[in-house]
Amino acid sequence: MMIYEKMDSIAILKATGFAGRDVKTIFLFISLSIGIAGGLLGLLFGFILSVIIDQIPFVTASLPTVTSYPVNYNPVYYIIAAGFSLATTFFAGFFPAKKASKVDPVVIIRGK
Amino acid sequence: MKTILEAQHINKYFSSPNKIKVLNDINFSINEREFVTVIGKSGCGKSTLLYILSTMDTDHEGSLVIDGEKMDEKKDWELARIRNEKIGFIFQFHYLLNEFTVLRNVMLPGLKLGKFTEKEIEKQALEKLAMLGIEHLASKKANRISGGEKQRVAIARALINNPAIIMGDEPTGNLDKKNREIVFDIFSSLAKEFNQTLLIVTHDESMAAISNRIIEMEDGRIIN
Repeated sequence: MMIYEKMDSIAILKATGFAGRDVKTIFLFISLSIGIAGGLLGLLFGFILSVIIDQIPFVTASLPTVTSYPVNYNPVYYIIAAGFSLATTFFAGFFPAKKASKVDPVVIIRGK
Repeated sequence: MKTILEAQHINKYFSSPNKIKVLNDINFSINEREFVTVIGKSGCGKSTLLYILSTMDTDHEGSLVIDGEKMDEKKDWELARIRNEKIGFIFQFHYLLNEFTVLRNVMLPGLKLGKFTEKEIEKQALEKLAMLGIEHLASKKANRISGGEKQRVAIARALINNPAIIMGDEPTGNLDKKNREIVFDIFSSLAKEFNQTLLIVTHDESMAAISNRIIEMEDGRIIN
């Protein structure tokens, strides 16, 4: 996990005057940025793929009006996907961030 | 003369595996403009004492007063604020954040304090770097400079908020002779020309020699 690699940085931040909650905010910010970037990329590529799939010919006697593969572009699904990517990264980041906020700088500085 | 730091009856125990008393009734004070070094053998408790005096270690008995303010019973974020504003810290190994440039590293405690705008902090940071003769490193990434340069950048960072006191934990412990001498010169000019109060823990005799007062520790007590 990232916070184990960043122990030194956390100790420096705390020693120079950042409080536990500041450290927590920084790590939550990082995980949410990953969530936003990942979510946007996912939505974009998902949309492109569905447009491509939409072009595939799909002819069936039972549905005479359908000529290509049916795709539902309802924005609700995109909103659900975006919400899900944010929620998962938030929870994936929340507990490590909480742990990072509790790192004792003295243990790290003495440890070397 | 104004007292910057005062330690009153500080006791500290390590509890694992057995309860051991590592600091025994430490009493002393540091006045404004004093350059104090704490010396003693490894394990005498001098670093432990410094962590307590820097407010990072709050698990101790006795009181600590910094710049007229009592530190006991203060909350985590209040202590962080005091470290940010009043204390400049210099370590032996933990220098800089490698993700950032030298300039950004120096600016960071200033940005946290938020007393000045980013532009003003940048100007002050460049002044501190120039004072230490390393302004040419400002735009370099922190992991692209030498160990001696890193320590000077760390000194610039410690100075950025014009702290009441600079604390150093073996600041020359990991440097070669040439860089050690550079750091000595910086500390003595900070003390003499800039009237900076300094508290440096060291086992370097030549560092102690340039200070105004030497506190000698043995087995958790001040002996001299």
